[in-house]
Amino acid sequence: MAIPGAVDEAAIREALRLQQADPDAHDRSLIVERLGWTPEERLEANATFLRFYLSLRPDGPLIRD
Amino acid sequence: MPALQADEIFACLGRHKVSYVVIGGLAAVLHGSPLPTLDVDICPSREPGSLEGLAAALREMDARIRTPDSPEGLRFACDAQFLGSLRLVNLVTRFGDLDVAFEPSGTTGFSDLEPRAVVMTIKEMELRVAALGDLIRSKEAASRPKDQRSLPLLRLLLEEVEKRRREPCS
Repeated sequence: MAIPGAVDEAAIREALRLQQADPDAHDRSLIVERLGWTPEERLEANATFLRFYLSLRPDGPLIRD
Repeated sequence: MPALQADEIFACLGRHKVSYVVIGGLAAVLHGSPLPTLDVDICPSREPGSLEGLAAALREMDARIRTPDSPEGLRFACDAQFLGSLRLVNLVTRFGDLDVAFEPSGTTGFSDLEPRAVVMTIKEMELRVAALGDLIRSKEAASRPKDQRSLPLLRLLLEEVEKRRREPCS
């Protein structure tokens, strides 16, 4: 049984191995998470990001591409 | 810079009965892309009634032409005739930035994209969102650095969506 707060070295090693074995895994996990949302929830997530971004940079990005 | 209120832009376009397809980064977000976007991109119909509606909607949103030198944008005579003469215009509105592309790269415009567009409901509004395959096709054709950056993620998204279509219970 895992001790709460204890570092699980084996789990960390496995997580790092998986990240290196599949560089797309993180992006895929973000996509899978969003595919579980409704389009309205996806739009709200974008708006939430922009509110956060503009709280840091009220003038918007330095460059627009 | 005004915060993007995409739902207000869609509501205004809807009130003025504009026929359009959502394209670009926000269309990708609506399909499930995790890449955030700062603006709304649309591909409107060139049908005269829709162009009249688009002009009225843009006037209601106080749309101005975006330029690097003037953050508040440039006023312009916003009518159907002027809009009909354009291929692309980048606008700033009171609800945030809106890019209007009549012929997105790699497509011939609304009549090309609309048949495959996916209908999505946002706040009780039915939006036509360009198909993911069409978004990829357009970005491949445009091939700007920003398109090249987003393409791997869009292809990954398409792969995941197609996998779910093949295996609906997974």
